[in-house]
Amino acid sequence: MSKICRLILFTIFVTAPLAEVRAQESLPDAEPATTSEPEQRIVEGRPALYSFKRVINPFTWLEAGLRPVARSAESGFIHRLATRKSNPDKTSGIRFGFGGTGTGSGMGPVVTPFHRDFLGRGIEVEVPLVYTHRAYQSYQVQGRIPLGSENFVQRLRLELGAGYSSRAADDFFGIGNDSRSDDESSFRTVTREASAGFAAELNDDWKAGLRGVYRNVGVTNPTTGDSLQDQAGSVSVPGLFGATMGSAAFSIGRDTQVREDFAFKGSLDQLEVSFNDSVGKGDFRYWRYRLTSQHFIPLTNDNRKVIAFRALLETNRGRVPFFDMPFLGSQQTLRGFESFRFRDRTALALTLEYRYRIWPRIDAGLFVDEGQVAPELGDLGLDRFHTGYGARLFVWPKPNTPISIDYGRSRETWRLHVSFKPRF
Amino acid sequence: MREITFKGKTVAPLLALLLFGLICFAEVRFSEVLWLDFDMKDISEPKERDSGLFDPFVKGQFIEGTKQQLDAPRWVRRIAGRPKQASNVNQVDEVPSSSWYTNRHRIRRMTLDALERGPNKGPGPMLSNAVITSAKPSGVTPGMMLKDARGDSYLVKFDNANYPNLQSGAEVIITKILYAAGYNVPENYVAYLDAESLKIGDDVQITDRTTGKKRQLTKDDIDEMLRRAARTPDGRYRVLASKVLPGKAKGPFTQVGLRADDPNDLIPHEHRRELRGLRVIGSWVNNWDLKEAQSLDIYVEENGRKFLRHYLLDFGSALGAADHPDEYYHGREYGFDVGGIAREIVTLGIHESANEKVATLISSEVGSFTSQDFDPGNWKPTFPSVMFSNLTDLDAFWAVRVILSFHEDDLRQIVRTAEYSDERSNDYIVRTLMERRQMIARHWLGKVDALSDFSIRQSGNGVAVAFRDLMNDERLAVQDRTKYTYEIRGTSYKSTKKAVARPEITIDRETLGAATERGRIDTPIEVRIWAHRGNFTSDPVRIHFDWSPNRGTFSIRRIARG
Repeated sequence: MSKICRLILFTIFVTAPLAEVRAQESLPDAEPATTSEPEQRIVEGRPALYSFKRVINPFTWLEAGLRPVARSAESGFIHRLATRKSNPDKTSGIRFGFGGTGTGSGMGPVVTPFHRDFLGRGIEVEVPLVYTHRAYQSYQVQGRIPLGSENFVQRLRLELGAGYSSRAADDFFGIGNDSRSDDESSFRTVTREASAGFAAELNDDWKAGLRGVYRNVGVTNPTTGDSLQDQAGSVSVPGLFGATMGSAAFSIGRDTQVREDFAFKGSLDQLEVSFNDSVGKGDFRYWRYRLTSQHFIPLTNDNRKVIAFRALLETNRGRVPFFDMPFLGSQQTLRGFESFRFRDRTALALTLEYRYRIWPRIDAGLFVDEGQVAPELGDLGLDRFHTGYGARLFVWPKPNTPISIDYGRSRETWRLHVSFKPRF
Repeated sequence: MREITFKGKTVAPLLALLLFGLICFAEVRFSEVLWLDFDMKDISEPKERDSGLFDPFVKGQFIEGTKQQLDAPRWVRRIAGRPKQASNVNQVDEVPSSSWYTNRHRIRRMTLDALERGPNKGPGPMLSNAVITSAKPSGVTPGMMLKDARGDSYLVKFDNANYPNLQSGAEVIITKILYAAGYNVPENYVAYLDAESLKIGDDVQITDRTTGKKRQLTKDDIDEMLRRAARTPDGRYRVLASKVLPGKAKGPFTQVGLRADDPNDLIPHEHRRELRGLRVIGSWVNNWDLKEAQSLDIYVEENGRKFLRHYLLDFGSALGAADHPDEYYHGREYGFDVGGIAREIVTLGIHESANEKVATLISSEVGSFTSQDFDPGNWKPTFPSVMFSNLTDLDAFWAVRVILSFHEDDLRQIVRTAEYSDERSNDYIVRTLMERRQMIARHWLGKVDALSDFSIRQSGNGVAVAFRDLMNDERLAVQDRTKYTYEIRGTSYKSTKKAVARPEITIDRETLGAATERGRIDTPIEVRIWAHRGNFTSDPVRIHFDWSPNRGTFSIRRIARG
């Protein structure tokens, strides 16, 4: 018994002091002093493996990769580049941009040396130089010489131009509305051209132009893909080995489009008529008639919802080299098909699009594209349309500078188009 | 003296008994209630960290947001109804004071004078003949740094000429509310400036808007800046003068993670209750601009120690004030609201987002602060943040307790320091704050027991556990439809559940004795209380208190929820 008492006494002796360390609950001082309080922490240390788990997370690596770029875009070099205001008083310099050379060319840097007052006579000279990631190239020299201003024909200009362009590998699927998608081949064109003409702004909306063009187009093997020239063999493809053309073109158009305040408004209607004739290699002579029309119909006063309509009609009468034929399959025509999917002397493309604002500076769009090609205008028919459909996303980094990402689908394939400052 | 000796046969049972005693003790042992989390130890000077739009937008919204969405354990806890609770909660469900937070009005009511004074320690700036030491003449909110006649430095911000008193008034009010709520804030004053007396300091450089190059600040720049600033009828400029915080600025604190170069920083910021709860307090005053850049770590020296103190800054976008106060979406949508965008896409733009609407201005100095359309549960700051999405009902309950500590008289005293030109503006702001306070309380208290301010006293031969029911106290619930059930638990005892209609539970001596029977002499007794309001039954709140038949004192050892 005495042993048991001893054990109890001992247990109480050991545990009693521990019980006494408990403190009474009390409210703190409103402003606790930092010196008189015991230096206790509410946690013993940092959570186990907390920093390690954060470090090994792949999204942390993503953040580390994005940070320098984002910082630069926010306040560094990229920011300065993007927000650099063009000095209206600057008469000469070099512009840097980003762009392409048309359908299927890909994107690349655009460097444009310019002079706005060449020889002190108000002559504008630009030399846009483009090289894309798909090795498409374009080097142009353009000059605009003012002839008149502030009269009935406002800002009449003489326009001169010369250039070299190389399209490395454009697709060819045959000629005609029923060409097969698996008959794909490619070709390269190298074009050297010179032009001269007049352009006049009749008023703020109406513009007209008249110009003559000399072009030498060489067709060669593409940089990638099966060569059209190898596959075509004896098949008759007009202009298979190129042509040298002289052209005279007249255009007139009314443009009331406004791409400001993050909205598309107004309309564009344009007619171009040209006569083209071989002046060397080849035997081609044809008239071309091209009609372009695009209209933006706001559904709400705030322009948040817009119906956009576009029609492109081109017909050529005479013998036309294949590379000069209108085609369908591009960001401007059938967006759900391969580039240059259909070619013929006549082409019709229609687009109906519903656009709506989904967030400040971001618009979405749903579209239906219809198109067909035919030898003659009279061959067009309601049952010959190819249909594509898809969705668009517009982002407006600046009020008049949209970037569009178009996703097009068709019965054959799907395509993604990215456009900087799209016209439609 | 007899020597007590232990032989081999007795050592084993002795150790077993000792171990048993320690285990029993460990089950009931609660540490001291901690009211100061001492994160103010001397540390070496941390590096300054910068923060820009990348941090709240790319890192905060997308990187950290995605990490959180892919955090499987978090989802499991959420689905199980056991979200991760804040880490800096003491034994009585409160936030201890620290370098981040100081218990003030909620724990010990501040006097009206103290509320009016807020963080301000001195008489305020003397701006006559102040010297401009730096300036930001362009941008959305032009401002300048001034050294006043006493040699103190102030950041001076101007009100927009179209909205006089708007942002300066809001900033002063929010400063004092947040200070009383417990946060560290700078001294912000409404002050008046005579532009003619301003002097330009030596070599004050600005970036030229047209050339983008640095050049000397001129009087013309000042005139251009002040052209857009609001003036008083006597021609002076009313400004918000924010006293430069003492210490070295080390950049904003992150809203997620820890500061690697601060050894005092042990609790991930997304798990700090005072930061999580800032979402609720921010919703009350519609302080939607709660991004990282609106905070600042200052390397201070206090009582011979050097450490980081963490401040909140820039409250000129609260209370319906903003550069564009007619923007309706603030507090209702994120700046880039993925959910809103998805709704717009799916409905083909038919859904009308908040950013499509224009807010109605109450007046030019009040802005668009209203209680209409206020949805406390869906309130959103401009940028989503992990620390805000970690908010649990218990964090929100804590924040509501802080908010409810502000009574109408308190708010009226604070609002008058905004020096609005029209007395009706004071009345409107106070009324709207009170309305939003009630809406917040109704929303968040409806998710929890809403019981607070527990106390124990002797009652007859037993004890009475009394508490406040905030739902009833704030007249948010029908008192007749509220009842409380409770049970008493001891080491080997569990009473039957009983119900009371009033917020007081009487426990007789027999029950107390039964609860402590077979336990240690001062084994804490646990009372579990459920609140019932109509069809709603809360999770239990567990009150642990000491009782001894030989003692006349009682103490609450722990209040636990979740």
